[in-house]
Amino acid sequence: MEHPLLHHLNQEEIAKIEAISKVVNYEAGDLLIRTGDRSRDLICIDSGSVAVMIQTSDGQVKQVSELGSGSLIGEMNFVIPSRRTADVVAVTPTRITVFPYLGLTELLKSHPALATKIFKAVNEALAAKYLNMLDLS
Amino acid sequence: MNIYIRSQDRDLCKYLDDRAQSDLNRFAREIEYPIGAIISKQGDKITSFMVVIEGELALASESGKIVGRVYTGEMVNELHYIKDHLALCDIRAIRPSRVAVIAFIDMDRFVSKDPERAARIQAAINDSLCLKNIRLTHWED
Repeated sequence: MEHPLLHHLNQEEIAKIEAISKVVNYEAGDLLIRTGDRSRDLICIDSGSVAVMIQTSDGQVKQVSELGSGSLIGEMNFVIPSRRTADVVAVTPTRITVFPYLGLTELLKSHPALATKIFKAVNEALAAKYLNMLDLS
Repeated sequence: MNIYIRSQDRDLCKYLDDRAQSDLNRFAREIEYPIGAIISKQGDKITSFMVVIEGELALASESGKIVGRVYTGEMVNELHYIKDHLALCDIRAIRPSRVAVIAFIDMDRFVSKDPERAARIQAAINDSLCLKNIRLTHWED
């Protein structure tokens, strides 16, 4: 399974970025991300599926989407410093690859060609999100 | 994207140094639009960035519903640089506007010789697309 973040990279670049990543496994029901967390890590879902949950103004918890393997999580937080805006809960046994913000940005500062490709992949995810939300009706 | 520091006013160039901005500006041509002018139409093939130097633009659906605004200093059409597809909205001038137009092919030339410039342009587009996503979640008809 190819991560969307690695889509434009060659083997040498993939090795560089994988060296700073870590793989984490979750059981169904485990919390991957909590609303309010300050993490800016980028996450790719390797396998399984997760639910994105938000708390509404009246206190209800509502699922807004379900993401499966190949999905990228945290692209907005990666670009703009803010806290996490949703809970993310494993629906099935789920394996993710985490690209820690500090390690990733340090790597990208010193490798501009790699940075171009990673930022482009993030832009593709942001563009897809925008098109998904755009209501032209 | 906070691995770079903003050094220019216009969003597309925000992370470029003065020399790089000057080089990019050589590819730009400026166009003025009167209020109400339709700059591009839904279904058009989009081949250029637009940077609003003065004025304000609106993104409108075929029915006329405004789905976004582009303010002075901001860019539009960056979505098409990332994902090649036909325009989903009309772009109109809602104030008298002056825009700088930079063809995607010229941007490719500008970034092709210097990966640092390429990274800084992609980072500026990161910021712009984030802003557009945030505005959509706050948009009221």
